[in-house]
Amino acid sequence: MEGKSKNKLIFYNASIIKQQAVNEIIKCNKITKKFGLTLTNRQAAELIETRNYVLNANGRIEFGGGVVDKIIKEFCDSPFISMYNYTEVLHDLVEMFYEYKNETLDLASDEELIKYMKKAFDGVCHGSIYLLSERELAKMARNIRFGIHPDDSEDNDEVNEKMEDDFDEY
Amino acid sequence: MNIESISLIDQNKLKEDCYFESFIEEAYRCNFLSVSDIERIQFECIELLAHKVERYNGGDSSSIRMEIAENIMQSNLYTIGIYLKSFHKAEAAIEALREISINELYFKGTVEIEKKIRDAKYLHRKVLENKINIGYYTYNATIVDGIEGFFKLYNPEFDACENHITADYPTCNPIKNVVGIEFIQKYLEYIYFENMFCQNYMPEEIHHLLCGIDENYDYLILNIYEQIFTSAIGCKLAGMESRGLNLSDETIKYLYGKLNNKSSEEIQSTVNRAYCELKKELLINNDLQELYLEESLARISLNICIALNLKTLSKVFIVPDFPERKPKFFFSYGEKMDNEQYRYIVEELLQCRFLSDKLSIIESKIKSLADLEDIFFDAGFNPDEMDAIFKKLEISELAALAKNHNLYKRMEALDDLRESEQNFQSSLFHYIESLSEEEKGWIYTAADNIVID
Repeated sequence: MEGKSKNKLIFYNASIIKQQAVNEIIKCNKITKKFGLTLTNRQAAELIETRNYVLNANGRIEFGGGVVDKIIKEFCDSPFISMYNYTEVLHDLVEMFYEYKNETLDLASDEELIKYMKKAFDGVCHGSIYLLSERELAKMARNIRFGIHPDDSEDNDEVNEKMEDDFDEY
Repeated sequence: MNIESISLIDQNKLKEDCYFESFIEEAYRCNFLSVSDIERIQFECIELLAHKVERYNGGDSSSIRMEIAENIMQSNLYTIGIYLKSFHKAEAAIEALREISINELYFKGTVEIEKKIRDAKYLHRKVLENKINIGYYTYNATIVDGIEGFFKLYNPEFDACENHITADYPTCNPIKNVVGIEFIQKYLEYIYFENMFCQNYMPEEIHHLLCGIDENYDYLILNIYEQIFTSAIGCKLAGMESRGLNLSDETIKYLYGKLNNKSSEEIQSTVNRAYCELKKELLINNDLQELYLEESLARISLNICIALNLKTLSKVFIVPDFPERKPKFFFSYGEKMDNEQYRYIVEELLQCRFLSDKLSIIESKIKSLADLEDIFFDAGFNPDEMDAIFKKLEISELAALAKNHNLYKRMEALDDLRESEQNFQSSLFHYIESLSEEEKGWIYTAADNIVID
């Protein structure tokens, strides 16, 4: 107790937070089941591990299921997600969500960011996590930082072409 | 729970600025709270934090940057701590921790804080009523604008433990280990007692006393009350009336003779006797104010002891100074010439190759010190050329330049000035410093007393 008191967030108990978050993710199975997507307790716990790791890496903190359940609910009807890549895509989405939350200086709300990710993932990225992260979200974050509309792409045509070339090689 | 077990809580280990955390630690150490109690408190604290983070984000974001979360958590714990402090007995506070949810404790804490804000605002009004009527910038800026700024910025919901203002004007008795609204309350309380004491003296007397420290005391950070109280004690030690604060060099010599070779305990008791006489003279009968004065007295006694050892008693007991009684010299910078003509002369000087030519142009065409000063800035003279021009000036003219650039005090930072002004000031300063001690003394004394039209 005394040792822990040196940390200002003495009252964070990681195991309590984690269990709470896993429960909320498991609840999402009720919705995703109809798309043939479900997560086991272990997979949910791993997602939370990823989330905790990314949160820590980005200097952020979150309570409850946080955005993981929101991401699951938003992306479960994507034509580019199946049971074969479900968990892998979720890990990537969670990772990039928090990264771009910081990159957008918290100016984009969770809902806006998730909806933008979904629209780009199903649309121009055709299910490519690489294009979503390195092109679409990077562009959006830059636009937001410069006070331009997130969808504005006037200056990015050249970058887009180069990224698509890179992706073909990739 | 019996009284013996309660006394196990070590009050010295409870920290004023993080009361809740230290209280929980102590209660846990003394086995008044079990592990399950601690776990419940932890869980409820997280729930409260989650709720506050949601409010902070306005529902837009479920995550938050770590440093903001830490601040909100600190604010929550501070608020709960404020409520726990309101219990007179540790037993009652422990019972509250066991019986009442963290959410409710927090709510009760916010009610306490609201009350403290109201009290502090009332106290601020009282402080403004008994404010010393003196034009000392740091004092007025802190007491009036600074405190008002605090009330505007203070946000008990997310920043309850923030001070927001630096409170540049210091109190005589230090304020330790309190933050947020508690700090402001304590600060205002101290200032109120200090003002109350200072009200026994005329603003002019206070002004003259502070002039004794430095005529430009406005630039200094000092506590007015401490100077007055020390001076009043000095008067009493010398057997004089304190009103007027009229210490003189002779009185200080007498005090040195009286206090020298005495032990610190003897000095302490002598000062205490002087304090008792001062109380009688000023009819001080407010218990709280007396407590404050007695705390200051210990500090003053210590200052006297140190000053006696260092033979610097005149730095503790200040002799009032009366700047208005000093003779003043009026100096006119003269009329500036026509702009067109001025530009022509600057052009001519810039094109001149030899110093002798420049000097002859200045001597023949510059008729006022105002123009000469501008020429120093615009004609791009090097330090040697400036020295040559300074040599042509009279003592009174050098003193006027020194006064106009505050050179005799060297108080303003050169960094704030443009380069040509910096070069000029630096050259003038070095030139004056290179003169004989006698000439230097004349220039600085004249600069001190000169008034520029």
